Amino acid sequence: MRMIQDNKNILTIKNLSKTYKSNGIRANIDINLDVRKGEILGLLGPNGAGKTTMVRQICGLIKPDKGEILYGDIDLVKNPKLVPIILSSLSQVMYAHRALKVKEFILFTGIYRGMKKQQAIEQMDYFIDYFNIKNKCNQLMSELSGGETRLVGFIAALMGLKKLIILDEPTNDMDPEKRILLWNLVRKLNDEYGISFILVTHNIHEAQDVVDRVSIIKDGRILITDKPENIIKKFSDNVKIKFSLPYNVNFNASIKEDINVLQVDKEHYLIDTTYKNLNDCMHKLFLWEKHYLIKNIEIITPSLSDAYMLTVENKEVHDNES
Amino acid sequence: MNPNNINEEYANSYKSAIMKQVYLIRAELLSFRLNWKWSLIIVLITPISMLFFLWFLFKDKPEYLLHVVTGNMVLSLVTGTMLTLGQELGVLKQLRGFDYYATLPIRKINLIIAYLIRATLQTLPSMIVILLLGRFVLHIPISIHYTFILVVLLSGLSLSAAGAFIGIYSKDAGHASILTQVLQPLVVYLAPVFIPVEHMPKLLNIVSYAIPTRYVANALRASCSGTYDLYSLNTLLIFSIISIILIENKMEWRMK
Repeated sequence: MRMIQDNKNILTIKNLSKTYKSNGIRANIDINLDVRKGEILGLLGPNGAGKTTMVRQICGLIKPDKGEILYGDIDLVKNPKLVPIILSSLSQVMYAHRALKVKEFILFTGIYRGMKKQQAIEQMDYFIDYFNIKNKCNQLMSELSGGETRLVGFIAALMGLKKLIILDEPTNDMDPEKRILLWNLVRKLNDEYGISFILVTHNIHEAQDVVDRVSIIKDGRILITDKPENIIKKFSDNVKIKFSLPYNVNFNASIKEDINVLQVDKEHYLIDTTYKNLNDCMHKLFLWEKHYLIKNIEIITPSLSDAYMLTVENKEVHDNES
Repeated sequence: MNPNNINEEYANSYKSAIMKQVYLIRAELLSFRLNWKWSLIIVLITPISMLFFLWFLFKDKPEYLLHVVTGNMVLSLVTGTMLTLGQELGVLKQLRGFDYYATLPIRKINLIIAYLIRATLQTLPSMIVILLLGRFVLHIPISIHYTFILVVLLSGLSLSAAGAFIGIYSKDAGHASILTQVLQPLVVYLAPVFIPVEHMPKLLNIVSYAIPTRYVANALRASCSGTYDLYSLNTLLIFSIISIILIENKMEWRMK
């Protein structure tokens, strides 16, 4: 039974800032973010937004210039040795133990994380069966494809089932079947064991079905953090009405102009409107004397992807204005 | 699947720490699967060619011949530990290989020990070949003392800190490679490795007190003459302890 504890944070990030000395890039600027116990938090943003820098600081791989990463009262920036005890992670790049076989890599990772050998073997076997990759078990890590390496890295990150698991682009290069299995497993581990996840991804469509909250980051700053449906409502009032007509029927010109109907091809039409005008549009559409010919009406509400684009673009507009 | 699969008491126990070390070493030894042929060529070719070259120069000076054999062993040890460690950690840093280790509850020294044992074992064929060639082909009188293995291990450990620091603090793999290749001749030729200490310039002699290879060479020469050099062994032990303390406390694998 999943339970997000709104008032309890597994991590609290305060004023986290990082500027790379080598190129002067301000990768993170005063980031403030709560990660709640038992939630899946998606971190979205364009390339170079500062997502990976942020999670690498949480994982203790980069030293922040300033700010705190609090686990309860403990600042992980000052106590980096505690990080591996609290969380596990899948990095964007995986280059270690390339001479090990797949099963050795997973098992060894479990043992490094403090599992007993038998328990590590049982958990490894469960994940190997779940992803149906028994045929890959004796392959060397250096021989795997990009997608296979990510999958094995993902399983290794799960070993020991830490309270917080950070996944940086987990489905990159992965085939569709494995992607679905991976997201289902993330959901299952979150539902059944209350494991919190921070999920860095470009794949907004996939993330939308999995995450509880989304944080959109751009140019090193967090633009918004909220539930996907709230972000969609806040940033996108647009609704599209799609419908079709037989190819030999001409749509009424005055209504077409009135409610701004766009003919996509010979049979398909599209109305771009807002939630506020939705009823009015539908009403006018059905006032047409041949409305009985209208087929396949579909009302398309905006997706997280649309909201994300609008959020990022809005920020650009504000930046230009200021 | 049991979610409570990490028993914190076990995870923090000595048994778990030993298991982690054993598996890290095992993982490193298994890396021979990928590159053992090349590793063997690298550790064999320079010391053996150098052995014949120096033998040719000094074959009429018997007081130099033991230096020729042990000097090449030192060269092999430096190449196998400091140079290999520096370059491999440099590659690991460039390719973000530390991301994997740094997010696991393992100590830096555990990883370095695993690398070191693999690197030292990698030098063994070269050491054995040099000993056999010296003894049976060049007819140099060699008698191995049982402290030989201890000398090899302490030598590797005392040289490892330099390699580890170069690997971790270099900008990238290329930088690490250059630094190790600059440092290698310095630690080999500024110490009485190939040349008896009494034939070295006074200044170099003084400088070499700070270089572990001086004690590695002395300890190896003693253990190849059927005895042991307690002073050098103790000094190597001190260098090794300093290496461990530096690696554990000063080596930072977090990026700045």
